[in-house]
Amino acid sequence: MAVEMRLPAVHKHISLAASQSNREDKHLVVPGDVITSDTGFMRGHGTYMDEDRLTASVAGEVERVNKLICVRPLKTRYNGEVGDVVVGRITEVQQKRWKVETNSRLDSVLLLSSVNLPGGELAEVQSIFSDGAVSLHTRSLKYGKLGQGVLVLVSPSLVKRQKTHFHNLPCGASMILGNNGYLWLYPTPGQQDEEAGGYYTSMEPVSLSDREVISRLRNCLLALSAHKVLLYDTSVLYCYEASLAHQIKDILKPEIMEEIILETRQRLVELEG
Amino acid sequence: MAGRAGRRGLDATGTVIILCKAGVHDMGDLHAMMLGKPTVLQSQFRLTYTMILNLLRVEALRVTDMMRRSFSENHRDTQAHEKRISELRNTLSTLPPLDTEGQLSDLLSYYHTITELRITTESLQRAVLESVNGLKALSVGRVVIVNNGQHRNALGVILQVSNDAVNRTFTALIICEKGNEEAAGDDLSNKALHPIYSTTLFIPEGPCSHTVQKLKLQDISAITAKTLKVIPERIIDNYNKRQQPRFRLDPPGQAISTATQELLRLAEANPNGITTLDPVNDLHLKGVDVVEGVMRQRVLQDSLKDFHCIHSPTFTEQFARVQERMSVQEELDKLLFLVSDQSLTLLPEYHQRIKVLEALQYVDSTGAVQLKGRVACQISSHELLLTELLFENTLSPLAPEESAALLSCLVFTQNTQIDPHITNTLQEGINQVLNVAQRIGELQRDCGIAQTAEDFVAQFKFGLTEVVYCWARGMPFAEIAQLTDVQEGTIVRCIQRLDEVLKEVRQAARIVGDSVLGSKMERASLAIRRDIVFTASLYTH
Repeated sequence: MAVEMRLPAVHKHISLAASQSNREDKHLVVPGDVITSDTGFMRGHGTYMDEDRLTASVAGEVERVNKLICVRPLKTRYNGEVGDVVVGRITEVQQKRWKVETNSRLDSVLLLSSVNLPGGELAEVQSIFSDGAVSLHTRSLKYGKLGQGVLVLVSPSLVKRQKTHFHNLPCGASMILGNNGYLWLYPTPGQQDEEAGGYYTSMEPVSLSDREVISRLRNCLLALSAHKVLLYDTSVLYCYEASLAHQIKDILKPEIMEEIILETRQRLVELEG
Repeated sequence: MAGRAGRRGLDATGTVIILCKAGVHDMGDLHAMMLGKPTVLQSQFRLTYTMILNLLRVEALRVTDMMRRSFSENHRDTQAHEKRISELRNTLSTLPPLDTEGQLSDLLSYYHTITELRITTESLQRAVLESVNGLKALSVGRVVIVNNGQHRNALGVILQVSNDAVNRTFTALIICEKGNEEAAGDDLSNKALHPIYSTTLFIPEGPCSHTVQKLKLQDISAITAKTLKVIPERIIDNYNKRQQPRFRLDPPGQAISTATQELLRLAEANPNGITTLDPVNDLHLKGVDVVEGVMRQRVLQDSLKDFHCIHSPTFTEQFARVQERMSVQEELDKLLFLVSDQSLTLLPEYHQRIKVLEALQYVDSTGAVQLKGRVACQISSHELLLTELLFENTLSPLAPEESAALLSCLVFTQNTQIDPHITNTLQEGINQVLNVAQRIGELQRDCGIAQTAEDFVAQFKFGLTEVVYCWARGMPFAEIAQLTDVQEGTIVRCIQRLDEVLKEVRQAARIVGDSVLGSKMERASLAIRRDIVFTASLYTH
């Protein structure tokens, strides 16, 4: 069996010439950059006051909402917000709660009173403790222990905030985009009403075609995150369609990755424009 | 009154306990308590921005689900509707299928055309009757064409017009077959559509007979251009006399016979239809609806000739089936609409509020909650104003005491006579608050919410600004009570609620990431939380 090996190399930056016009106003800063000297502004997350000047403390994009200035970091641990959907892994079992690892600064807690069933969970952020740890709950039937599937880890800042995070893709798989950067791919369940949201995890073998679709999707997600493309259902779908021309294992090769990403970006720009 | 116990929709019975402390009440009182008329329950459900934003944050719930469960929708009687819907669905599935082959292929469109024609004609007739000229035309002696369950395009002459303007009836002499004089009892045959639209007049095959009947407006399908000279009283008297059993076999009087002969002659002279009065040209009705209605009617009548299905041998039977199926379908559609989301009474207000939220950028166009929206979720009252103030940085130039004084406008709802003395910075702050409130009020008005901008701005009253400012700076309670004419209890209550508002602003500052504002709010809270205003109450926890 032939094996291909590549040495790590610098990613080539892909830019689309004509489309940069609407992205010129992105104000990128690094820690220590002065954002403004105007004192009329409120300072938000990611900034600090350095003798009357508003300075950035993280590397990212400046966001202005009326008189509030904050910096959204490009790479960060997950900061919980109430109402977010996250995918986590149970790391500890304590007396009345589970500790869940969710790629944030502190482990999240899942209280016994917040679950319908035991196990490793897909959960929703219920509240945030003052130190930043999030408290989860899995009250609705949509949430719960996840069955067979694939976990993909990306940076939390790449997941776009949307109305719904559960997507059934037309190519035959389903996707859960957790706000914490953990993405779960799984085969679309056959019958539409899944009983009890996970008491019963089916251990039936998944068909080969479904497995191929999921593998291709996983490689697409890795390609998208390597090139820092915002992840949401449309972008993932376009990337999947662009990758159909290649073999699944070729998607991870840098030059093919660039091709696919270029095509995806173009289609996304057309969609907006 | 005792019928109020129990949970709405869940319990079938409830328990009421009447506690008699000073002896049992007398019978009259007890009777009123148990069986008297209770106060009418009215839903106080209000759609607030906070509620909408909180529900939008959670994926599992929709705002329409919440609205549907409120008491204000209780009148919708969804269970009865659901039952009827399933009944109708069953009926629909058991109806015989339609045969739409060959000549009958345009049966459905024919049905729709006929229905539209009928509706247009009815509305035109109503317009005719409401007009002065129309009423003048429908006077004694006018020949009309009668079309109802009993008579089919039969000629009649008007004898009397009732005075009742709401339900005008016309007594008329109509020619008919011998033996068909009595009115058909059931109204249902009136409602059934005649499948074929034709204008051929009815000519009796046997000996001509007549009947005098009271007609409603729907029975008169057209007003002809002819009038007859008749003596209405004689005709009516004669007819009524012959209705009595003693005179039943008498021959009809001369007036009646002449009139009947005239009508018959008219019918035979114009077998294919007689000229009728045109609403636009003859009756001079110039309204836009009337003119358009007449044109549409003509178009529809012309198009009827082009349909093939009327020539099919099984036409009448198939038409009846179509009619049955369509009426069930229409009822089903109406009920489905009533139980659906579209008929919620609060739905238009919900859409208006979402528009306001989108315009202020609290939610984006897809419905995902933005930073401003997340801040507004923390605030329980006057959420829009407070969030806008936060993001406009109004509180930063003010000292903690001044910001507490400024925020007192959110909790104080009374009018005062004494104007407070306010410092300049505070006055600027007040002006800014009023500007923001004006902006929000106008935006709400533009999006359709039924509250004027002035009403919105007038909600915020600054009567307690001086009082709170002095209290926060440490003045004793006895002195601040003298500064204003507001009662002491109101002052205490307002300052307590102000403390809660400050806590909410502190939460909001934490979400936004501004620690300066957070600490300022905390200092303000400490400044007002002292002394008699915050002493623990003897009555509450």
